[in-house]
This record gives sequence, structure tokens and C-alpha cells, in this order.
Amino acid sequence: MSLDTPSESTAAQAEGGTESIDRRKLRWRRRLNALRSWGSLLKEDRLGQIGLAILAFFILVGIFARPITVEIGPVWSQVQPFSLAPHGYTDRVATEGLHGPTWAHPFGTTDLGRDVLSQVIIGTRATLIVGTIAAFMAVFIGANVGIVSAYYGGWVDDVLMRITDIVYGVPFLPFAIALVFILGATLVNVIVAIVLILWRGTARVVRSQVLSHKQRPYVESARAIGASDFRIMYVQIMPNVLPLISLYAAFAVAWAVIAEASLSFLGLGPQGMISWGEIIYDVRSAGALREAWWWVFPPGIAIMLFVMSVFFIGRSLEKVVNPDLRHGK
Amino acid sequence: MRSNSRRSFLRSVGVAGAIGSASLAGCFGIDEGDDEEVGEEVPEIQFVYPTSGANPDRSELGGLIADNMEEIGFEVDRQELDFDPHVDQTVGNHDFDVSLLGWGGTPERIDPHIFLMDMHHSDFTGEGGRNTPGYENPDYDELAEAQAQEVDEEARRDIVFEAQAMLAEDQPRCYIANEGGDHPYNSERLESVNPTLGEGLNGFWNFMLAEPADDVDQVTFGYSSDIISLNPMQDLATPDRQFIRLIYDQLYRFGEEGEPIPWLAEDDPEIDEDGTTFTVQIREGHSFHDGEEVTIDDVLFSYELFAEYSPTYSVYLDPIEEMETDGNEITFHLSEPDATFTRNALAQIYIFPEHIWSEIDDPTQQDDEEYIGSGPFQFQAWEREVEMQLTSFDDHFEPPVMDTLIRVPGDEDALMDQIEAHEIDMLGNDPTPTQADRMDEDPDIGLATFEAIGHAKLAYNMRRDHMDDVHIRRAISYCVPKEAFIEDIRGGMGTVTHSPIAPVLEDWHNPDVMEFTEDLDAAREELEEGEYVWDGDDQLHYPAE
Amino acid sequence: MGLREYVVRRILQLVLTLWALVTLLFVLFRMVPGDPTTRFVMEYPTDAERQARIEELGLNEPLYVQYLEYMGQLLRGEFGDSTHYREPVSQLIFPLFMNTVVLMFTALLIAYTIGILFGAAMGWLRGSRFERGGIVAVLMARSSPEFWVGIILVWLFVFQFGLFPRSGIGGYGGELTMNFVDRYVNFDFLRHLFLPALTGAIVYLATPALLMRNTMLEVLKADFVEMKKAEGLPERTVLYKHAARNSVLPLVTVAAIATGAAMGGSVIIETVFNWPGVGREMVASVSRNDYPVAMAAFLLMGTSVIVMNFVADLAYLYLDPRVKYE
Repeated sequence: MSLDTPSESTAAQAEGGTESIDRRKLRWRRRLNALRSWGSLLKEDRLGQIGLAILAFFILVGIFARPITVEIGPVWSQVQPFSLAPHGYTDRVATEGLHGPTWAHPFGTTDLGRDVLSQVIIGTRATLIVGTIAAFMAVFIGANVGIVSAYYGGWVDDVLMRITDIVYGVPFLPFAIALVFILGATLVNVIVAIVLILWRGTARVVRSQVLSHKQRPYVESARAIGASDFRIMYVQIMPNVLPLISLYAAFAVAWAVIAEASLSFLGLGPQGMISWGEIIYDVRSAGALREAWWWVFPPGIAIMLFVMSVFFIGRSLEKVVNPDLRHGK
Repeated sequence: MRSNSRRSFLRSVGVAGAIGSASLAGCFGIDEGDDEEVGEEVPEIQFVYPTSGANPDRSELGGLIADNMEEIGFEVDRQELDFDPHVDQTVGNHDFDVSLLGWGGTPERIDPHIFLMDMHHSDFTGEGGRNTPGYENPDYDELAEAQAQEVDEEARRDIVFEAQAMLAEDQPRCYIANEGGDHPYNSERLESVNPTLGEGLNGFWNFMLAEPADDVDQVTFGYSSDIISLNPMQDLATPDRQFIRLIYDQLYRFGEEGEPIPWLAEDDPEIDEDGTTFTVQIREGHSFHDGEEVTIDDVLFSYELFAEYSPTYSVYLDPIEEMETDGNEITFHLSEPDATFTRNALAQIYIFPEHIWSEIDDPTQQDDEEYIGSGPFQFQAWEREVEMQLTSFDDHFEPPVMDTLIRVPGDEDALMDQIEAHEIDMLGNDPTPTQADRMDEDPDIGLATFEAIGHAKLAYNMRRDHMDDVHIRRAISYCVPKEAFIEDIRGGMGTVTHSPIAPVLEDWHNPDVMEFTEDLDAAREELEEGEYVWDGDDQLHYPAE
Repeated sequence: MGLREYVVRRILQLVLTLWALVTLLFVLFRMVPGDPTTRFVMEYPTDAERQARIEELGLNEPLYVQYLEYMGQLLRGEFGDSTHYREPVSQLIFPLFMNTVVLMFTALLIAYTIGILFGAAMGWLRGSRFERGGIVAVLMARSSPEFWVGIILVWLFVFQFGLFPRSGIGGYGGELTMNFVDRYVNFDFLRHLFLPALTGAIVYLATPALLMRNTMLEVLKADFVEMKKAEGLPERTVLYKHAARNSVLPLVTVAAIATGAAMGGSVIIETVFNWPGVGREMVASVSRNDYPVAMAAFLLMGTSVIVMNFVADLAYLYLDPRVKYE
């Protein structure tokens, strides 16, 4: 699923570690190393910086888009009182529909007199929610399948990999469309549909990476001192494949956002919220594509920028995972 | 043509403002509990309405109705569903309190029978039945039955009026609007079009009379879905019927005003005094597309075939006890008087060539691939999702003006763009208000305005206790912004209505029934009259015991 | 393990995958609320007619009977009849599948031709402004969902310039033929093909472009380039030869996988451009509860994916002798 095929030469250098005192420290250092090396890479990687900046911007917009109120029974509390969006996304704020940009409505209004700017701001939330949750869940499942499969081998590996193969045979978008159509267009179903397919890439790559780690001396020695399987898998091996997992997580965010936008464009977006894809769907079903450029371009550009920022970050992560890609030094 | 090109939202702005400010009141707090002096809370209203994908206009309307219902103290469970799940859940399984759906109107439904009988008589309350609300009123049943048997038009009208008045008072349904509209066409390539009641440019008389400009040899007609089947034994969908009737003839056709006029028949049917015998004489010398003559045997064969196989029409032929032919004459003997027989049976049963269909074992399954009929158009070729080609049948006694008709299926928005790009000539769908505004300004594009006889409506599920109270139903009916639906959401297309029978059907529509328009004060009064009370949070409750 | 054994095993795996896919779909589509008669429930005068239709379709049978019947049908190579159109699914879906294949093949052809050339140029001009701009441009294209690219193209080429037709696959009133050449090789069809194919091409361009660029960079780093240059061969010849040799393997693999995936990805493009293809039909048939058509459409797309993945593996085997059959 990645743009380039990452190679398997990521192993952090500090392995071994039978000395009991330093073990924990070492492990942490190993974990930090990857982050640090990304940090230092980022200093020279303009695209990665731009990506991070754009992403940070969208995250802030998403959080402050509308006030957030938490309700537990009759008790409620407003944990985030700010509202970046001047209006609610269903509020009819203009007395005249389908109007181009004005000072009051910088992105113009929809056919029903709603403020496009507010919709785009609030739509950021749906994108963030679907993107992060779906990607996190997909990568979580994928990484676990990969690790378990590679570590235990044998019939466990066989079964899990055959399942992965089957999922590889399912066309992504058609499946998501069918599933969401059948189960109903809710936020949960949209995320489930995306996750059910998206984990497959991570599973395969993590498996092959873990296979190579399994042979290394640090795993042998851990086993020799009687560490449990769980401990070896998640404490010893996991940190070494973490950079790769985060790379796949970045791409998973991109695919999840594109998938959500595509579903929304077909009118299958999560109900009760607005997303960028849904705004474009509204433009289309209002029949306003021809004239209302102010209505269709902001959400479209927002999708593009968001996904692009994730790709930029992914590319710089890729250089951590696959040092061969660092060139020009 | 359209008058108001920009819509005003002043009325709706107020509602939205109230919702917007509520969330800014404070940073934390505790919602107060129930008061002591009130009874049980009125159950949450399960309101099923279309998603914006299924029907953007009605979806928007559904949201407004739900807002209003909450405004007067109801709790509303908003369920937005796609068309199939919606129909399945409400019409099929009766799992709803309030449901927003529509009912299409074609010339076959100009007669009030279906609206009064099937949709409100207590025989039709079963699962999948047309009486979705489960309305059971013996007084009403009597009226519905009486109108069907009354052969005298004047007397029948009185009964029909009375039935409408009763429905308006009982409000098993809230009739909202007849969604008439504008169908666009290319006014450069078409000299004239002929939109018909309820159908616009889909109407039979449009295809017959639409006049292409001098150098135009084929007319392309777009519609938002493909034809399912041209086999008249399978026709369930309106768009299918609209093309089947171009290819096949009936004894009578619905004229431009919706009245049955003699077609294959020479003259009006001869009906005996007690209304149980109908005799029809057919035209001589007319032939099928393959050159074989249309005979009285073909007519008899067709009626027998429909009685046995047709899922939609066989029920109309049930009253027939016996059919006999003599020369070019066919006589139907009915078991009881039937005021609707001409409209429902004589004007809807297609005449088939016996020499082709008698060879076909199971007419519901197997097509005549050539689709040989005797209608004004003949079938040429068809590729699904691409196009269907028909040409005029020049030997017909009333041939169409155009030579070639191409039917193009596709997604609505793409078809609208194609009309604007002059890629197709006319369209059987309504443009959105935005598109209509644009087309209005385009000198090459005309908009053919027509009235609808079908409607958008709310059904109240009277099988449920809380919905069985007329005050609740009336209060909800007062929450429906009928005017805003037509003016704001539909850009002025359509007519507000309060009765199942469209105002445009002047002979049958009762203009003096109880009316429900958006009026939240009236809604509260209605609820007070039903002795409902409100708690401190303005939630609706039953009175304390 | 020998090559033959490997291939046999892969084919068995392929069959297993297909079976799992069919079963999954079968269960999935039966979960849809309602049945094929639902949307016409108000058209049937009484419930008896509707029940008769349900029985006729065999939908009153227990689910496992329906499943066995369907599997039997598939083994005989039949897809059954559409419950909506009441005609054989194969007859309905074949022309649609052809339309999709023609569209996506064209899109991929453009994407890979331009992508490879563009990627090679980016690698060649490493570190230049062209390369940096190229990467951003390529990623930008890849970041745009198909519908967004489609909308921009329609807006530009149809609404603003009026250069290309809005939708469909051809002008109207011509001869309706299934003959491949008559159907697809004519100016009118190509005019209609242009925008949807370009949409696909833009979206799919990123993979080959970036792949080619990376290969180019690796080749440039290699010492033998210097050696060959020392032998007196011009740099350009050396580079192209080696870049080509090194990039064939990943490109073929990726292209095969992309072809499979594109069959599924066509849904959106077909919807935007009203292209009568198999993806659009799948969406439509799901919404009508037309299980046989939805299953067949999905199965065709799924089979394309699976078969092309298989082809990718075989190509890998064939082109890279170092690969073990694991």
C-alpha cells in the first residue's frame, strides 16, 4: 500500500542487552533513537516540515471548530468552549442562497443559505476522526496479526496469512460501499468498513520484518533467560518494527481519509456530521458544480492538502525506515 | 415558467438561530430532573425520513419537521434511511411512528379510487399494504366502498368530497405537497413539447406531440434510471410503463386531461343500466408492427393473459365473470357494478399479438425480444445503461410527430449537465432549484412546467398507542413547513396540499377540508386540548394521574 | 519446492480466496434490509402478488439452501438472473465489464507511460528544482480522490471550455453493437473516453513515477555506471539501459497489482462520468437488493484483483531468479 516498497533494513543497532541493569534503559533509548533520527532528518526535509505544519493546522482547526460538550447523565461540561466556525453546519444564515464570497461569508453560501466556511471548518473534524481512528485500528490489527503470525509460525501463520490473502483479494472501495450501504451510513460503520480492509498491508510487512528479527541474537537471549512470548513479542521485537508501523499508519491515514471522502461523495458519508466529501456531494446534488466554485473548491482543496501533508510526513518517515532513500548528502 | 429565481430563507433563519445559541450558555451544569406534577413522558417519536442521497428535498424537509417537533416538546429519534430500507421498515414492517415518503402520480391514478380505497381502507392495513398508517374507521370504509360502486359521477363526487373531509380531520396522514415541477428541454432542437398532468415530459402525449425542429431527425430523452423491463407482464415501475405504452396499445388511452378516450376502441364503452356489462367495439384495419392485423381475438387473448399472469393488473380484472366476442366487439360481464372499470381495466390492459405471445410459455419470465406491439412507436434496439432506440410506426392511426426517439438513462446530475451542454434534447426529471435558475437564463433551454397528482406525505403509525391520539397527529401536522418546502427547498416547484387528491384535479379535489400549515402555537393548543402538559424543560408529558 | 508445485499451490490458494469472497458476499448481501420486491411494495396491489414473487425468486428457502444453489450455479459458470431486470446476469454484465476494462486499461496505459518517463526525468535531474516540483506535483495528484480530479476536469474541460462531452460512452442513435472494433474504435467513443481515462491516469501516475525515480537514483549511485562510462559509452545510454533493467521487475509487479485494484477503483470515476461500467452497476444493484448482479459485479472486480496479484507474483518469479518459492 505504500508508494515505495520499504526494505527490511531498519534494525536499530543497539541489540543484545543481556546486562540486566541497562536493559530497560537500552530499550527506551532504542525507541527514542528512531524518533530522534526522524527529528534530525526532518531538519533537512522541507516537505516533511511542510507536511507537519499543514497537519498541525488541520488538527487545531478540528479541535476548535465547534465547542465540545461532554455529557454524563444529567451532568454536562464544556471542555472546549471555542468555536472557530462562525455558524453551525446546518444553520441557515443567509437570506439568499448560493452566493459567492462576501466579507460575511468568505467562502460564500450553499444553495440553502448555509455558510460554506463553517462547513469546511467543521468538516475537518470528521476527517480527523475517521482518519485517525480508522488508521489506528487498522494498523493495530495489522501489526498484531503480523507479529503473532511471524512469531508463532506454523499453522497460526498459515491461517492468518491465508486470511490476509483473502482480504487482499477484496477490492477496497467497492467493499466499503457495499458494507456501508448494507449496515447503514453511520460513523462506526464507515470506520469499520475501512478498517476491515486497511489492516492487510501492515500485517504483511510487519510479518516479514518480524521474521527477520526472530532470528537475531537478542531474541534468543531473551528466550534463554525465560522471557514470556508476550514479552518477547511486544517488549523486545515491537520497538524495532515501530518505525515501519508508524510509516504504515501515516499511509493508512491517507487511504482512510480518501475512502471516507469517496464514500461521502456517493452519499454514504456518516450521518449527523458533515465531512469534506459530503460538502462536495451536496454541491453535486444541488446541481451547482457549474457555477458554485466557491462551494466545491474549498473542501476539495482541503482533502488534497490534508492527504498530501500525510504523504509528506510519510515520505520523511520512510527515510528513517529505509536509509537507502536518503540521498543528496 | 418560474417566477421566483432566488429563494428567501427569512423564516428558517429564526429557527436556526435558536439552536446555535443554546450551546454557548455556560461551561458546565446539571440538567434538571422531572417535575412532580406531570405524568409519564410522551414516548420518543421515531421519525423515519429519507437520506439526502435518497431524496435531497424531502431529507431537508424531514430535518425541519423534526426541529419543529422538538420545539413543541417532543423527543425525536431521527432515522434517515435510504429508499429500500425506508420502505422495508415502514411499509413492510410498520416499525415507525412518523414516516415521510411519497406516492407517485401517473394518469392511471387520476381517478380518486386508489387514493381513497387502497390507501385508507381497513382492508389494506397488512404488512406491505398501501394503508401504511393502519387507519381503521368503519365510517370511512363505507364511504370508500360506496364511491367505487357509484356509477353516477355527481353522486360519486359527493362521496369523494366527504371522504376527503373525514381524512383531513382524522389525519392518519399529513398530505404535504404535490411535487410538480419543470422538465427541461432544448428549445432550439424542439419546436414544442407537451408536458402532461402528473408526468411532465414523461407523458404519452409529449412523445406523441413533441415537435422537433426542421433539421432534427432524432430526439434524445434522458431519464435518471434505465427501464427494468419492457415486458408488460412484469411492469412494476412507472418509467417502464411510460415506454411500454408507447409500444403497445390499449382499448382506451388517458387523454391529455386524464380522461379515458377511445383508442383501439371505436367509441366509448356501452354500459348497461346496472353497470355490470361493458361492450367495446374495436377499430378495424389496424396492424401490429410486424404487419399482422389486430383482431378481436388478440383483445380477448390479452385480457385472458393479463387476468392470469399480471402481478399489477390481474386484480382489476377480478370482477370479470365472463368475456365474449362477436365480430369486432367484446363484452365484459362483471359480478358487481364497478365505476372504475373503464379506467382501471379497459384503459390499462395492453393488447398483445396472440400469434407471438401464445407461443411463450411463461409470459412473466420471457420476453418477446422484438417487442412487437401495435403502438405508435416501434422498438428498434436497446443496450442497458446506454440507450434505447424507438422509431415511429407510420402505419399507426395516430403516428407521433417525431421519427426517432432515443432514451438515455443516467445519473440525474450528469443528465442535467448534458441538457445544458446540448448533448440530449429533453429530460424526464426535475432540475434542482439551482439548475432551474440557470436553465431559466439559458435561451436555448426551455422548462416545461406541470402539476403533479402524487404527493409527499407523512404517515402516522396508528397501530401504536401514542400515535392513535388525533391530537398528537394534528400537532405534528402543524409542525410541517409545507410552504417552506415548496418555496425554499424546491425553489417554487409544486403545490401545497391538504388532501390526498391533488388540487389540480378539480373534479375530485375537495378544497374545503381542515388545513394544517406550519403553526407551532396551534400545535401547542392542539396538545393542550388533548390534556398534554409540559415539564420545566419544556418536554411533553401525559397529565399526572 | 519446484516451480510447478508452487504454481499449483498458488492456484489452489486462489480458488480458496475466491470461495471465501463469494461466501462473504453472499452473507453480506443477505444482511440488507428488505428484498428485491421491497422497492415495489406499494406497486403490488396486494401482498399475495409480492409473496408469489419472493417464492419465485427462491428467497423463502432457508439461507443454506439458497447458498448451496448459488454455489452450484457458480460452479456451472452461471451467475443466475438479475432479480431487478429479470434477465441473465452474464448478458447484462458482460458489456459493462468490457466498458470498465477499456476505460481502466487506457487510464493505466497513460499513467504508466507518462509516469515512467516523468519518473526517469526526475531521477535524472536529481536535486534540481524540477525534481522537487515533480515530487510535489505527483503527490498532489495522488492525494486527490478520483472524484475530485474528475470534478476539476469536468469543470475545466466541459463547463469552461466545452471541449469534451460530459458523460456517457458515445453519441446517440448509432448502431448498438458488441463488436469490439465497431464499438470502441471510433472518434466519438474516444472523445467520451478522454476525460474519465485522464482522471484515472492522473490518480494512478504517482506509483510508477516515484518508483522509476527511485530506481534511477539507485542506478546512478552504482559504481558500474562510472566503469561503463570509462569504457567510453555515453552516460545516457548506460543509464537508460540499467535503469530500464532494474526497474522492469518492480514496475511489472506494481502495474499488475494496480490493474487489479483499478478495476475496483473505477466505481467513482464511472459515477462521475456516467460511464456504463461494472463498478457503477454494482453500486446501483446493491441499492436495489439485486443480489445476483451485485455478487457478479463484485466477483468480477474481486477476481481481477486476485488474478492480477497472482500475475504479479508469477512475474516476480519469472523476472527475478533469486526469489525462492516460499
